[in-house]
Amino acid sequence: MHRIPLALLWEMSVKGRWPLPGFFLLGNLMPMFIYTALSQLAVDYDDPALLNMHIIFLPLVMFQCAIGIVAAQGTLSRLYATPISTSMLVAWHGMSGGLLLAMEIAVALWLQNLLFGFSYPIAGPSLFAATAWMAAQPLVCTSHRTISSFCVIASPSVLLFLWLHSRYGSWFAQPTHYWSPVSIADACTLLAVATVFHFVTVTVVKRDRCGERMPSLNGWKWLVQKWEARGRSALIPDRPFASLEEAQRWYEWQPKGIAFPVIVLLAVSAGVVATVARIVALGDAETNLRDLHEGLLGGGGILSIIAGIAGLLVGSTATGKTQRHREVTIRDLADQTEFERMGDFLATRPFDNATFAHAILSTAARSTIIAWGFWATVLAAVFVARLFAGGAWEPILPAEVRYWYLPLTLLGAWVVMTNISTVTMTGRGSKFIFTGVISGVALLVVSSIARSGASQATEALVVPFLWSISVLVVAGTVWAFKIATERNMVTMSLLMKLTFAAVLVTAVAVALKPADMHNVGYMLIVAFASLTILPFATAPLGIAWNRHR
Amino acid sequence: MQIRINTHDGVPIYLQVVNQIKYLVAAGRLSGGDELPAIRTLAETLIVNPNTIARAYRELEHAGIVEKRRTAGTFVTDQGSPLARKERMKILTERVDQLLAESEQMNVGLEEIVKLLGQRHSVITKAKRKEGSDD
Amino acid sequence: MTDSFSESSTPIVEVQGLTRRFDDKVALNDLSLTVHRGGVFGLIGGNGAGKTTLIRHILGMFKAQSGSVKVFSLDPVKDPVGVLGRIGYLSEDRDLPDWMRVHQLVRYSQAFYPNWDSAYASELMDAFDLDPKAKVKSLSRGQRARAGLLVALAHRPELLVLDEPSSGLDPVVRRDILGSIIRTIADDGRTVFFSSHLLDEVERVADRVAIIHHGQIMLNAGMDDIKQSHRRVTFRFNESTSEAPAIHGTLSCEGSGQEWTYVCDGQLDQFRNAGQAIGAAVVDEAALTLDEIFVARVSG
Repeated sequence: MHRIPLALLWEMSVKGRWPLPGFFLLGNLMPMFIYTALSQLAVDYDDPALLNMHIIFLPLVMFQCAIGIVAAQGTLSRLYATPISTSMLVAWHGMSGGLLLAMEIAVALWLQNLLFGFSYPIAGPSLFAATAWMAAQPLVCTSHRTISSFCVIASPSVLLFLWLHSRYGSWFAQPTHYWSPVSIADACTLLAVATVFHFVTVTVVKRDRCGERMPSLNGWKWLVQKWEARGRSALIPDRPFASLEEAQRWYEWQPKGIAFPVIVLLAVSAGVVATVARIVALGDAETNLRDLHEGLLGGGGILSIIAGIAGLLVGSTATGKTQRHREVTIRDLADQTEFERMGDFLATRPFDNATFAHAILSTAARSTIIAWGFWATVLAAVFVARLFAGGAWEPILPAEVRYWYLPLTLLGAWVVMTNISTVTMTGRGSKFIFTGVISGVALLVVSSIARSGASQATEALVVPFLWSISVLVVAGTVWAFKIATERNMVTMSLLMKLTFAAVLVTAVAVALKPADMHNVGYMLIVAFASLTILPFATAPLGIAWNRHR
Repeated sequence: MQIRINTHDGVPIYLQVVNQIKYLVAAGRLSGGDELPAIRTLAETLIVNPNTIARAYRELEHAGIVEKRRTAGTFVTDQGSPLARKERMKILTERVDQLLAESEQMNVGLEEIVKLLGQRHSVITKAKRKEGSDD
Repeated sequence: MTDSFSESSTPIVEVQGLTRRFDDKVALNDLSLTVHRGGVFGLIGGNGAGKTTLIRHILGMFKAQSGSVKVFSLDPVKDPVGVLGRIGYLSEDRDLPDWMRVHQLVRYSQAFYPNWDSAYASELMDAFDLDPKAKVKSLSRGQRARAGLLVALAHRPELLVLDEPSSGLDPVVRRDILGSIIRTIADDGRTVFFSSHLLDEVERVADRVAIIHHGQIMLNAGMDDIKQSHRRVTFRFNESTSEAPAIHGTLSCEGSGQEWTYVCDGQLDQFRNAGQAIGAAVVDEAALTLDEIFVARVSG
């Protein structure tokens, strides 16, 4: 009987040697940065901002650490065929994970206290983390989940987090104090909740172990069926594709390109619905519409961020390896052997790399234009609605760029989406992203150090940095086009058109520049213009690099 | 036409085809003028490379058992009985060789084998006669 | 039916001195191989011998680190359209876009091959009993292999490349796959290049066989030659020995005491004489299956 827990512990330590520290660091990264930044401002420990941050970061850190533990433990179903009783299995995963999570939270808080001189409570949050882990077990342990069962099992957790909030004051209002000391009632509540969830998990896993599926209302299935019934005629042409380019654009659009417009549509409609609800409930249409308008304007910038995430998807040429059930570890992410590589099916289609890259880029363009179109249309509609609600004719726009804000958001989304998708097209995306994150972190550290110094020092550091980055981008663009032209991936006429586009972007930007622009601004403009056309060279190169290894 | 391919005893597949067609001819299950299946058809039914079947047909043609007619296909030749008898004897000889080899390994002498053959023959003919009278 | 793989016919695949390293592991070691037009070429080798790596080079998914790869006299990396447009390929894990439906997969693939044969495609769809509306993701292993085979065959490729086509499949699907290999080369001038470790299948359908071992070609010969030249000979020696007496030309041997069984390659008469010269008598002699030949070659 002693051997099984020992074997499982060994398994967890081996499997977890990357994910455990990795996710612990990842989870602590953001709070540490923000606290570092705040420490420059000499924020008082009693400041409500610190209290709020403690309460916001606690679940976030907990969640990230929990992901690491789940990765280290592996799925419970791997042990279903072993001669171990279900309650024993559940107890093992629940106790080892809960203990580990409590320890990680304690260490995280202790580190924060040590580094920044806080005195955040440690005992309460750690105990809570263990209980929250137990509460998550019914979902983590089972191999089959439905939306209905997910909602039923996950809803008590909402209550649990509200209870946590109530330890810092009241259940719903702003927190007022820290959770210390932990009362006996608190400890008993947590213990009772953990016990209840243990038995819930045992019941659920018993079902799962003999292959009984979770009850479902089949809502998702219904939605998919409706969508497909409606969309079939629109999405699948009855005639054969006229060309392989058309076929490939269809391939790129259906599962990947469509993501960006859908996300934007959902986000924008959520904003509109919330505003309408508030107007119906509270009245005051003009103010609420103004808020929505301002929110949407800010959303124009966020468009680029969403475009970046969608770009990761659009550039991906990997295909689902359903036949190969491999556990993906952090190691694999670093190795890149199978995970992101172009699928064999795509790699053996008879098209050249430039054709493939152009199909992806044109999908990115279509995706960006449709998503941006949604956003711009709603923005215009809200503006008109505000006029009717008695608002002023004067549109609210960023002061520096005015109407140019609209094309700028479109171009911004295009630049981010295409350049990031090029990164995934290489089939080595996570390596680049890893490098990007590391250099971003380094940059943050440098900038926070620089900011602490005098403004002269800042300029002495930042300006040369911007110069070198911009020069690097422009030189890189020229170099990429040189290679791509040599390999016949970019034709002369395309090169001419792209050069013209880049010059145009530069000219317009220079014409609009603020009067007091620093010299480095010109270089930044040229770099931005280069980035708008860079993917036409790097995408085929990236595809080739991925396809012929 | 029934042919079975066995990849577990090492005999080359074309030889298996040749032997079995020879056997079918000798046993009278294929007679003069019968058409053999087209190479491609036989290859697909037996799941065997068409070149292997082609080689088997060539060997059979060489031995005078089949002939290619210009447009029609491959046919069993109208061979006289001597050739058929020769083939029969050849097949039987192989079987007898096998029997002798095994009996030698088991230390059973030739005389005993001959005696055994006589015994079996009378048993089988008796059984046949009995069957005949039952009808 | 023409003589397949006759030396005079055009080489369809030419691999010269190909070496491939993954970190410090050598997957292909100075490998050279020529495949001529027409017939079925079987590539056999153990797990990790380099079969898939070689095939990926032929399809341009690996760039030659040293040495050269030419398919239809073209470089598959430099000219993917020229090479891949004439190849039908099914990968070992039957990689297909999971989100498509079968009829979408057919329509999508059709766009890439100018000589796509729609009639043949629908004939295969019926023969394979594929549901055109089914999602590729939901297909069983066997149906997935059939769907992949359909897309690989329907443009009637000059070269059909199959990587372990039968692995993990039931006998019915295996029959379909072998049948389509046979049908493919029954059309004159087409070539099939396939890797397998199911050697009885290879024995049935291949004209020519290459054994790949530790990233090198060990044996490359016509199936008939291989079968003819390899024999199993059992000798009986006068004295019992604990180890098999050495005879020149031995690939592998096993046995005990006085009787030892040898697998010999090539000169059978010489081998017999060599045995008799050291006072042994031939007690048994038999032909070998490809399976036995492979084991003798690789483990001997």
